[in-house]
Amino acid sequence: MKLSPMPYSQVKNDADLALLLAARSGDEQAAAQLIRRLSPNAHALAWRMVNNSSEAQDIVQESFLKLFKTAAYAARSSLSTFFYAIVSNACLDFLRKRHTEPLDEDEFEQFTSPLDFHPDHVLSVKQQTGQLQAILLKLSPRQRLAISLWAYNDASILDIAHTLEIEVNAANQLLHRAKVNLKLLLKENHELRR
Amino acid sequence: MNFEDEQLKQLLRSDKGPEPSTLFLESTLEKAGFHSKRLTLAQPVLSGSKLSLRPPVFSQRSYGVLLLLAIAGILLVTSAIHTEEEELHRIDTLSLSTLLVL
Repeated sequence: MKLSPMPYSQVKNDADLALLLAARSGDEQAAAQLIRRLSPNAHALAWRMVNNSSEAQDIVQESFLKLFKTAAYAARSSLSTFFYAIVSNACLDFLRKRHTEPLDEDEFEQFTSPLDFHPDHVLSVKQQTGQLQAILLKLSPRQRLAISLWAYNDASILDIAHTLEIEVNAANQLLHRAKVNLKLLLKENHELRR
Repeated sequence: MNFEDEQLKQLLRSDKGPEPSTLFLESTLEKAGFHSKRLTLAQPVLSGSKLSLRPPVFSQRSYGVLLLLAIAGILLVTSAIHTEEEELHRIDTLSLSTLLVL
């Protein structure tokens, strides 16, 4: 009988899960390896959300403590998705406490018409340090979170729905609006620079 | 995924912002309690405590008490024997006296 090869994502998740189990039983090396694997994207996600590296670091650290000690992983999604969901909720809690941005509404105007998006729009923002973050901060926190999860963790619509505890349809619309709004902001930025 | 979406994803991934500090890993491990476990395990070696495979069954104080009990026991037995001999001697004397009177 010919065995079909296991998908890479499955292998990666099994490895992450083995590291988590070892870490929970006190294996420091396993814990360190898991932190090295998950922290770069988690920090990027948290930084996009709270716009402060030190606070992002604290959020990621607290999320690791939860992962190692209390969080119950039910294996409905990959371990990395589960972890990024912990980070995402910690970010939303942080913003809720800070009261700087409304979380439950997408205050940014929603565009449904097709845009004449051009690769130059991306190029122009790449040439300016910090410009992308400034543009992303114009999105609502939930749109920013949806697009960050999609970009950094290849999160599916289902993953985003689970993380934000919303319907799949709502998650689909949220991500779509985030992409459309980001494209529009990139286009505006490009036109301003010309 | 269409071309525009792919470009957006690449744009976001190309800029992950500042990296976590170099102390992040150590600090997270320490807060999660891994370092304290390691130190606890290392402590007996570092403190240079004496090698002892198992705790002693009797301490010096226990041996002292045992010795006292043994001496007391011997004295008691000796005095009991002595008392018994005296008693027998008295009975003998009484018996002899009675015989002489008769």
